[in-house]
Amino acid sequence: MNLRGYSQKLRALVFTKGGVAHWWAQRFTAVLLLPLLIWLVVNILYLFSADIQVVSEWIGSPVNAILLTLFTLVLFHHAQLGLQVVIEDYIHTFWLRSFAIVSVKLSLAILCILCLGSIIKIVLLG
Amino acid sequence: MAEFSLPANSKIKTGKIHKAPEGATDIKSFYVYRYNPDSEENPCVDVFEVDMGSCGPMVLDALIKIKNEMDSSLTFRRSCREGVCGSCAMNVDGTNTLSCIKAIDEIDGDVKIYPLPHMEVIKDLVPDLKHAYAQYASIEPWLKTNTPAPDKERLQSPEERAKLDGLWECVLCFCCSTSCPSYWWNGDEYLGPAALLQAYRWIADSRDEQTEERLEKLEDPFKLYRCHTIMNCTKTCPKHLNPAKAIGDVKKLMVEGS
Repeated sequence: MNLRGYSQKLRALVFTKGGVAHWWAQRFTAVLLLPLLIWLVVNILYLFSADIQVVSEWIGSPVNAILLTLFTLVLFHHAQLGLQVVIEDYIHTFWLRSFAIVSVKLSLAILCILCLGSIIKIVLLG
Repeated sequence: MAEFSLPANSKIKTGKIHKAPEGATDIKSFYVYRYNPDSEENPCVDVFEVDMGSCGPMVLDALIKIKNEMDSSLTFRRSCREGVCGSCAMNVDGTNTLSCIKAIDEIDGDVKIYPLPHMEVIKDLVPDLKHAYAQYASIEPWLKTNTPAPDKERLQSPEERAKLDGLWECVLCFCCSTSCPSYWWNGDEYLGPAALLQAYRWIADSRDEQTEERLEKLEDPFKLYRCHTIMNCTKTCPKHLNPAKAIGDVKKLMVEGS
């Protein structure tokens, strides 16, 4: 593959090809986040002064663990979609834009995996 | 990166003050952006004190009076002087508008006149619109059909024709595109509200048979999806059209078609 081929591959990897899928995913995750966020905030307020044992038990219950996992996935997906748009809006140098988008996506993916790992750990080990 | 200050040679200096003729009683000051590419100097703002007693009611009347009586080098585009040609688009009192349909007495205090924002300036109030025109051409603004031409006109029902209302009235003055921050930052790739309103004008036309192809051409993260519904376009449109809604309708059709 020549340099041009690589550059096109990179382009396809970094930027959304179409636009409608990205736009739709951003709206869809936003709508999903709304009830999940309300649910989480209400529960955090409720658990605010609880000790660690109670909080672990709350996270360990199947329904809460599933909803928390869903919230984590949707939140990080929404965040990377939104940040990509902001970077595309304001950074115009091609290599800097590509670097920023890849860094943001990688960092958010690592954070997401850490969150999911924590949930799994609490579910399995309490 | 985004630029947050003007380049050194674009910084606006204070210009000349042209006093009103003696005996004038009703004086209004016009602050007009001046730039002459032939001089090496920075752009400046000249002040013209206009005698309103002998001036027409619109901002364009004042500009023509200034050009005729005070400084013949003042350069601006104008043609129809009744809001149908779109030539005299400029930034008046902080808002993009057609100077020929903007009444002077709507403006409190001094009148500030600048060229359309964030466009390269050719001279004084004349912006370079060649890129905007090329973007308009790129949406192929003409009727495209696959079926052979019928013997008579291609007919439309009154309902089908009504879908074009609010779209066909656009005079391509580019007030909307040049008021859009997304167009300022990404105008090289983002088509901007003016071209997108026109794109929708042909998508919405029941006689056009290449709606799918038109939508496909717009399916691009930069051409269309840089619109973040900031709504400056709709707020500034001197013809009271709604480009933001037209863009929203294009996005809706894309979601339905995907």
